[in-house]
Amino acid sequence: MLEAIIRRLKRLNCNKRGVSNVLVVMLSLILITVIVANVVLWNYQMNQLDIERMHESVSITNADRITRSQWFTAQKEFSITTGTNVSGSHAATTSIDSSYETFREEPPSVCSYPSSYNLLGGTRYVSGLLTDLQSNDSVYMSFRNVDEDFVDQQSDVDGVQDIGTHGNFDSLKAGPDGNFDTLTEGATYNQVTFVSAGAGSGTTANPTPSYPTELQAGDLILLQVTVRDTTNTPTTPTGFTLLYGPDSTGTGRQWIYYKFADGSESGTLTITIGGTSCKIARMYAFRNVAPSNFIESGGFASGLTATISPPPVTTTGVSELAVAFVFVNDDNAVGSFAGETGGDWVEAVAEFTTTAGFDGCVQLQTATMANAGTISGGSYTMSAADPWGVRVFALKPKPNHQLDIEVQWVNINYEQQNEHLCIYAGALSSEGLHVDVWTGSSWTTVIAGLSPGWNNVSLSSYLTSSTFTIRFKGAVETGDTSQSSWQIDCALLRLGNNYIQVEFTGTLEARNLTRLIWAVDCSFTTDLVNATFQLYDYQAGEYSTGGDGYMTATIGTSDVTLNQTITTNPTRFIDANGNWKMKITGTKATATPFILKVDWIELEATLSNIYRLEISNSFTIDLSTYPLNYLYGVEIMVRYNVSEAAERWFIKAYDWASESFSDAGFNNTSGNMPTLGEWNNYAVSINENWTRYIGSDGTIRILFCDEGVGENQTLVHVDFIGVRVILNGIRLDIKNSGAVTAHIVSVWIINATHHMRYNADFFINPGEAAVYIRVDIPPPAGNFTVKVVTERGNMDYF
Amino acid sequence: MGVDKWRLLKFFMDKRAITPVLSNLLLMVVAVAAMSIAAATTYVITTNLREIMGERLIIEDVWFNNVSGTSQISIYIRNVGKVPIRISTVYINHTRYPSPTLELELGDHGWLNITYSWASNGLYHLDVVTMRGTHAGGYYKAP
Repeated sequence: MLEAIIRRLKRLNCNKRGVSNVLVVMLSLILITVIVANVVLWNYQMNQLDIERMHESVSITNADRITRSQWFTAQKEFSITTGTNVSGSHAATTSIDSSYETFREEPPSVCSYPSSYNLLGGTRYVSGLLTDLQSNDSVYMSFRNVDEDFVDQQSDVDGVQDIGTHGNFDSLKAGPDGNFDTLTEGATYNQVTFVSAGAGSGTTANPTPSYPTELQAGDLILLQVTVRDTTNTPTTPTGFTLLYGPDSTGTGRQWIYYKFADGSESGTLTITIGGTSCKIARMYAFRNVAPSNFIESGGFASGLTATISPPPVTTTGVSELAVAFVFVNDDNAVGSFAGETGGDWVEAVAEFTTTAGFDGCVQLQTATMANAGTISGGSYTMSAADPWGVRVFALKPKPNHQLDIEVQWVNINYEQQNEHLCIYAGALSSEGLHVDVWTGSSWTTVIAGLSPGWNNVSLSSYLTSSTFTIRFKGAVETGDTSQSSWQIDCALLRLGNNYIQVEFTGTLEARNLTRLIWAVDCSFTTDLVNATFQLYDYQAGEYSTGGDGYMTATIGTSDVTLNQTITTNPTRFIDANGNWKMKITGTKATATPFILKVDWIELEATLSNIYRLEISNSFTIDLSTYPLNYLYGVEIMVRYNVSEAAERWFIKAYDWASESFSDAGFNNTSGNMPTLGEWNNYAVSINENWTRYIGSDGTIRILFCDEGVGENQTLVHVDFIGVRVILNGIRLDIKNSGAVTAHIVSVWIINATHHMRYNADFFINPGEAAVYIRVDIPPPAGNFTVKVVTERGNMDYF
Repeated sequence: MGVDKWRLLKFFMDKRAITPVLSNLLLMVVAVAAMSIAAATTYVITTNLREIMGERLIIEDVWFNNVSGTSQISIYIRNVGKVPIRISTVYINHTRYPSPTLELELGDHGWLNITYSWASNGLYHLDVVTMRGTHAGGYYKAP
């Protein structure tokens, strides 16, 4: 079998006619594909369309003219301007049934809120608006008992020049905000001085010079060693370090060693030097020398003549001391150099000479260099020409870091119960930082050492004028070789009293005032504040101190609401112009500042003995179903029952143009006199300029109110309040009894004279019935036929 | 050099391979041409068939009127098929009447007015025919 297949394949492979066969087969396949695509599949699609059309079954079960929309009812609770809700909710007014909402007439009242405020007793405003006081909603107007007065300027009240620098002085004027003023110590220097010299030693053996007297710890000891040959070198003495050398004259050489004294040095020092030449050694002491990097501008000169000429020395800082170590390979006398400029070389101590080992001489000359400069020139001529050498350099002073910086407040209100200096510090150097206050003649330390964070100190005994000055001073002011810095965020004075006192004022239209209810809601930022609330009694000419118009409470950090009803002579709290005043005082003896947070202040005045009821609500018309262009008016209906039929009742609508309730354009503006004990249907329609009562979103606000003449309190039961629009359209009840969703694309209105077609776009799910309202299709007079056509081409008539 | 020239000349002078090659090429060209013609013809024919099959139209409304002062029958036609249609002829009671040309794209609809002196309460068989021969119609009674 397999062999037969292989044989046939080989034959096919060898057959040249196969190419044409393949082409024909492929093109045939293309033909078949075209036929299938164009005919078979298309035929299938059209059959599908026909089947769906057959399965679609839409029928009109009813067609009606419609002249009114459905009722639009309240979707939220009624807003009560005057009166109270006794029972029920708005939901009971959405249908005519046994449920209803009951309201009760109340005497009319008006509310007044503060329109301005006065700060008393140094109280400061913090935040918030007067409008925040109009509702108890945790939106506050705040006041505090102290003022924070930030530092104003730098000063110099003591006549001593400031030492140290501010990083950014303005940073002290706000905060704490993380922006620091970094106070950095400035450096001062004491003049480097020559203290004394020890006894020199000249010998052919090991010299033994004596330590200088009057040594103190930190003094610099310079050791001058000379050897009258060029082969032997001293062994560096223990504790000393070679500074210069060997400096050679060709005949002899010189070394300068140094060490800083610990104050205990005394006696002699043996310096080991080989050979038998003349050897001289001598030590000198210097004070106020920098502990490190203490020399500059070194130089050496030598000669064989009788005149010794030192090289120049240049200093770059203040308070330096130029030194010249002279050595001569003979025992000549040497005096001070003369003729130099930029300074004055002075022999610090008489030269030391020796005759041991062919003689020798060493000498020290110094020149005080108070300021940076160069000392150059000068010379000394010996009695004979001999080899000489001079090593010169300058000794730099050790710094002394200090801080002495003043800052000042001006125009401060200094007569307060609480007066505190408050400084907020950041990172601080280990060296302490003092804060001193200027008493007028001297400085007094009030903060011995600032700490990170707040540093508060009372100033009650120091704040005696409108200008107040402090200074920042470092704790270590002498011998301070390290430069310290301190971060200060802000410096301020907290000035204020132990109480907060604010007076609020407002106006109230209070004719026929019969009752006054005043209410306050507030809290403090600290506990146990004694709060007093007072209304101003215009008859007494003072704030009430008890009884009506006076309330007290101990209030903490939680809001507390207080109110008082005044029925006896309430008019005394309102002046002839309707003005009223209220004072709030919060007192607590504490150094900690606190804040009064006022949430709500209200005066409600009941104005007469006439009982009123005014309720209103919003009703929203579905403008997508009832576009304004196809509407003809609005109808409003109230179904209500009253406990006393002594006055008429009115319906008004909100005029969005004039922003007030009105009944202009109503078919009935005279109100409705209800029948006692019965449900009364009171309906009005608006046919003229009715669009003014409909907001852009279809909202109509309806007011239902009494006439305002009843002196007896009436209960009003409202069973229904609704709004509907007047229109002229058709309503089709359509049922889709087919198996597919129907899409109605046209509606025909046909009568004897007209065949009107209207485009439609209405879907009905299979098996469902729906109401299709078209307010834009005015039905013709008389009999007519309605026809609907679906997208698939099916129709139905009614 | 002389040998190479000779071999090249011999290759070009060899007649033995021409006939099979030409015959095969010719066969392929003929086959391709024939099938191309067949494919084009099939495409044209089946496309026409498809368009005919895709035609659907309905008469939404028939209005016997004399609005313009002349008796006429107005037929509102809507294309509910899958291809554009063009109304070519209207038969009233199986008699062809001239009608204005009405072309309707997919989903389009419009009036087709035929001037015809109809009689009240008369029963008329209306038949609307498209260019491709699709019919839509029925009996309609004049008011």
